[in-house]
Amino acid sequence: MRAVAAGDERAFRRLVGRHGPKLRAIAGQFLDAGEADDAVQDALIGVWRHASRFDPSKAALSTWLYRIVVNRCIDIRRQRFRWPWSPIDEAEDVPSGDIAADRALAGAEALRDVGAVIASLPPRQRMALMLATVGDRTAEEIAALLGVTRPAAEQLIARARRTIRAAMREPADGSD
Amino acid sequence: MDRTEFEDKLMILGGDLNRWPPAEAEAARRFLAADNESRALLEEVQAVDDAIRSATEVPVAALAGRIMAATQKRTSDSILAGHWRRSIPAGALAIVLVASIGFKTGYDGGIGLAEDLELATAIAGDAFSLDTLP
Repeated sequence: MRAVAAGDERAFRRLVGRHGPKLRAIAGQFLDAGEADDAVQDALIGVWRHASRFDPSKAALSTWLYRIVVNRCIDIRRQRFRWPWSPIDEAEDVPSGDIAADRALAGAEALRDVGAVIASLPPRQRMALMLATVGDRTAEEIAALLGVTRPAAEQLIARARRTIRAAMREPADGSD
Repeated sequence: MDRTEFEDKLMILGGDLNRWPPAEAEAARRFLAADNESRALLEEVQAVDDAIRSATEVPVAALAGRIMAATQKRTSDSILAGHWRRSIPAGALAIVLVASIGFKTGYDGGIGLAEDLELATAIAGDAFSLDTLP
């Protein structure tokens, strides 16, 4: 980060290479392609432009990047769909997750397509799973990013991962 | 650690034991050494995690190019600004600077970066405080 702060383009290119694909994969689960590209671009260019102000002793750079992208996803979704992404309704994803899982498991096509199963997860389960699996964030970081408690974040991650596992375990005989 | 606890941890922490908290990873490795079925479970969750990453992967070469081009544009803009500072009269320079500041302010507002940084500040402390930004 010091090299980025000093205006080292090669260091910034490495930063883009390390975090860009992960951030884009996460944003792509919630935004259309153009919006996801813009969200990631804004976050990374923001780092480049303001790197000299960054104090690594106070927070991890990646926390900043993920915070910006997650917030952009939430904001755009909320504007478009009036998505009730409330930080306090931690339990509300639980039943909807089961419903989503049932729907996913009911369709043979979705069973064969992990991407479709991921897309069928409730938004916060999906975000928690993406942050954990693709973004390599800890449960504690995810809790902070989503505005939930750590146990709630762990529950979101576990439920999502169990759903994907169940879908992958399902035999392909649904295609008969 | 028993199998139920190991499975619960796997669902939360994923199939890469290197990313688990050290004490829990050590306990899991001891359990894995003694339980064949747990090893199969670990491999299954590793496959799940690999599938999630593969299913959501997006080619980003074009995006990376856009980002780097934007940073280079900023650099060249700075160089150009330096050239103008050296080669035009002071009065004209003042006009250019005022116009540049106006453009810059408008751009920041357009992408909503200020709001994002404000939120980042709320999470990460004052390392990203808007007060410290130019």
